[in-house]
Amino acid sequence: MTLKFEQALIRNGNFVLGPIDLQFRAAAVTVVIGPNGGGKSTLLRAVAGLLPAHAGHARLQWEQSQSARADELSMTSARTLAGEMEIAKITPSQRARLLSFVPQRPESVAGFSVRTSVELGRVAMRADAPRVQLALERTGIAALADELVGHLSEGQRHRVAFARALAQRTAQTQLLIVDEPTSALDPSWTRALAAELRHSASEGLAVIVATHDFAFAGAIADDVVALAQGKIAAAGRAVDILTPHTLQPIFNVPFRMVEHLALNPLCLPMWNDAINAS
Amino acid sequence: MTARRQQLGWICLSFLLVASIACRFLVGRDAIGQWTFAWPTSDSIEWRAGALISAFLAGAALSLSGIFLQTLLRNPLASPFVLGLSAGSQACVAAAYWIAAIGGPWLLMGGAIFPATVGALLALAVTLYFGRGKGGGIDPISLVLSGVIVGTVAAALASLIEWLLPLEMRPALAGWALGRVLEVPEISVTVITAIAVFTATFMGIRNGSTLDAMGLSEDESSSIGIHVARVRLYLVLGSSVLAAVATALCGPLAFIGLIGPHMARSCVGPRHRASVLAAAISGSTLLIAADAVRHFAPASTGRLPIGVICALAGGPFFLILLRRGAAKAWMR
Amino acid sequence: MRQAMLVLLMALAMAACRPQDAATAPAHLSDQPPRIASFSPALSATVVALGWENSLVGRTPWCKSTAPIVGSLNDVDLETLARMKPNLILIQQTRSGAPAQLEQVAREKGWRIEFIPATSLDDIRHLPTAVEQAVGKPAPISPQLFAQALEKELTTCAAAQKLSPTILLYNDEPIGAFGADTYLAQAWNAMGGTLAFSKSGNPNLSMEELFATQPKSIIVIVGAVGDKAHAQSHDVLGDACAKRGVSLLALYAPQLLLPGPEFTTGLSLFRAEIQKFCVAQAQTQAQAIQAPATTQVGALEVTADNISQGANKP
Repeated sequence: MTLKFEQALIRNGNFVLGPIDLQFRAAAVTVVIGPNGGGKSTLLRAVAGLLPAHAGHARLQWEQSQSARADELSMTSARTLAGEMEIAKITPSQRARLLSFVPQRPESVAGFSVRTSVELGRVAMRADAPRVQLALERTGIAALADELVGHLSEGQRHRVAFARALAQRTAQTQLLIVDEPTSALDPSWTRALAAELRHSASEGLAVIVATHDFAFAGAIADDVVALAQGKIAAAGRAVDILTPHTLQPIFNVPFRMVEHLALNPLCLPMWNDAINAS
Repeated sequence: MTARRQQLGWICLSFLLVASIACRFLVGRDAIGQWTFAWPTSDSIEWRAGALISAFLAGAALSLSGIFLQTLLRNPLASPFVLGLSAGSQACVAAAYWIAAIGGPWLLMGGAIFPATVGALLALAVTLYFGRGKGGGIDPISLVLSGVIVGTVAAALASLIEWLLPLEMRPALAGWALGRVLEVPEISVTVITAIAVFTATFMGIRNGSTLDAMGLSEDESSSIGIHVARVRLYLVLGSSVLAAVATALCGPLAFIGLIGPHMARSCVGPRHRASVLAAAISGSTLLIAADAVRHFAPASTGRLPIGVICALAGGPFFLILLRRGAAKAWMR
Repeated sequence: MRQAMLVLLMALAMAACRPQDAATAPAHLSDQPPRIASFSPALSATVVALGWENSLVGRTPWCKSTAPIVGSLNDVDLETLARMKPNLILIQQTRSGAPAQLEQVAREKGWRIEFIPATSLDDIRHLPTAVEQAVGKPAPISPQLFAQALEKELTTCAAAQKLSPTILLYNDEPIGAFGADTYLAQAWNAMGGTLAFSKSGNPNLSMEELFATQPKSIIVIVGAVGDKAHAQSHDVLGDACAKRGVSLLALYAPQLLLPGPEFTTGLSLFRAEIQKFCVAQAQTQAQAIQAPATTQVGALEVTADNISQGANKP
């Protein structure tokens, strides 16, 4: 299955993203980067089907061999032509089975316990206590299961939201969308999260992550999409995009290759010259 | 909320309900008008039962309306009175009286439930429109402010219409606008209120987890499979109808719809599967208790108006909530 | 489900009570001593004045009586009302009738509801007779006496003519006036006075409206003791009147605000007060302009005459 944007124009209030052409691969991590106001969150919400394409298309497409999955999602109705479907038009209960979405600032009722809050991930599906427990353990909050969400720190609440996304996972899940996960996280959880995201990709999901953290991006990305001023500034394999040559014009900051990590070269913005200059 | 604590909460709620029913059932007035506390005469049983039924239903309806509004808006200060729904109903019913005075009484069939519903919906729509922040999100405090203003304007409209009415028709409205608990409630209104209350309780319990999920941000609840727009529509309609039937039955009573849900959550926890039923019970308990308390007045004054009791008990509660920063603590 | 059970139990209790109530057939009123519950201060006062003080078994919080309070039309205390076992319920006539639940219970219990108007002067004239008719028995004190006493107070009064055209106020802040069709305005007309405006009902007037009608005098009827001092020292109205040469008279007469039998007493007091006022006014004028004594004596004689007439109490 692939997710394809064709000349898609997405409106989010006064902000306009696109028209963009993009393709997200299954079984890969796509990192979305870009300056503030570049359209990262808008793109992620469009990927999750929460914002419709105002013009053009944002479609899910699947090959013949994958149509069995589409059958499970009961999407091969008369409305779907040739194994493709507009992602904003799928019903909420189909969406729940198809994708998980972790927003930048997760919100929950302060009076709910952590376990209750995670269980909400399965609200549209059959309850699954072992899966909820597994999600709690994999996000490292099993010990907090009976705490109230209102008593947690921001980073812990983000873990709760991620655990909810894990609890929501079914055999049919195709997409995992995470908006700026690292802003409130400590290094150990950032590391664990990176492993989780790679693991999800290895399970065949298309993982889409927006971030400002280039170390994190470099560690997990297969593909990179750089957005600036509502347009795609660059898109392609991580090795091609995460280079000073590509990133400097987008962010207006000098970049330098630092070290070769497992997956990609580490390309970081430089501060010293700016600090020295002032 | 451990299971044990929840159990304790249920016992506590049931006890309070039974106690308030017993209290209202036993309190009366003797031959010189002094309050008494005794088993009613066969004559009075019917009326005390009638007052209990109308207080039970109106209290439950207000409290359910409150919990639905709080879930809809993710705002613990929301309630049909604070957001102007009650006053909206009042204004529309006054308008219906006015039209009926000119055109004919057919508009008031069914005990003014129809105009009351229209009024509640209108008031909620206006409150939401003006309480909505620029960014599309809803700031809890500006929502409440907007509601208070809408309520004040609607109440003023009701007074204006009352003023325009022929002098002879004013008393019928005036008594209703003060709030009341009727011993002999109109059958049609009572039946409709009962249907609304039981349907709302049933639907609320059945869709408890969906309502729980409405506590997440809109993006999250959509992505876990909630049809947010549809659920919101149901909540708007449900809370408006409930506020309207309660207002048609007992007039615009303050704060029952605010305290009820809070009492429910503190007893049985925030999950709607439990708190919806608990809210209905809490609201009933509160209004029945208020109706009982108003009888404990000296013979020289007669029993006190129910509206005064509700406002006196509820106002400070609202202030305490505000002081404790409840508006901010809801969303996390 | 516990709630459902409770409601069911209550419904059963209600059902159990019904037949018993239906059994009490409406009795013929004239066979029994009257037991009257009144939902109007004016009607309560009439009932008491007719000598049925002991028959008044229910009243509103605003009625002057020792009978138990049975609520108001806004909030009828059915239980207390039923305990007092009334056979007649008096309501000041309205188009919307009695509250629905009172009407329903009255029908079941065989209580008779009578609507008696009390708006115009004619209504006040007929009030005692109307109440007697409603009770269906000769009253201990004849209603005719009240009518005669009232007629005495409705004779022409020189002071009323002198002060006309006038505006009668029941409140000075905001200004509330007795309209042309109210009982007090009609009584004023009967006394030979005229009203400075022709509005009906109880209109609220602005200062401008008040003086645009060019009244010769303004009479404020004060109903509460606290108001009395207030109205007399109400500088704004007082100054405005003094500037325009309008006579301002504040009169403590709560009886005039209630269209009941005490209205006659109030009217008598009213006549005496306006005559006193005219005399005092004439005296100050006489002192001010040092006019020939003869005209003043004539005026004094006329007023003294009227005072003695006004003092004739029923």
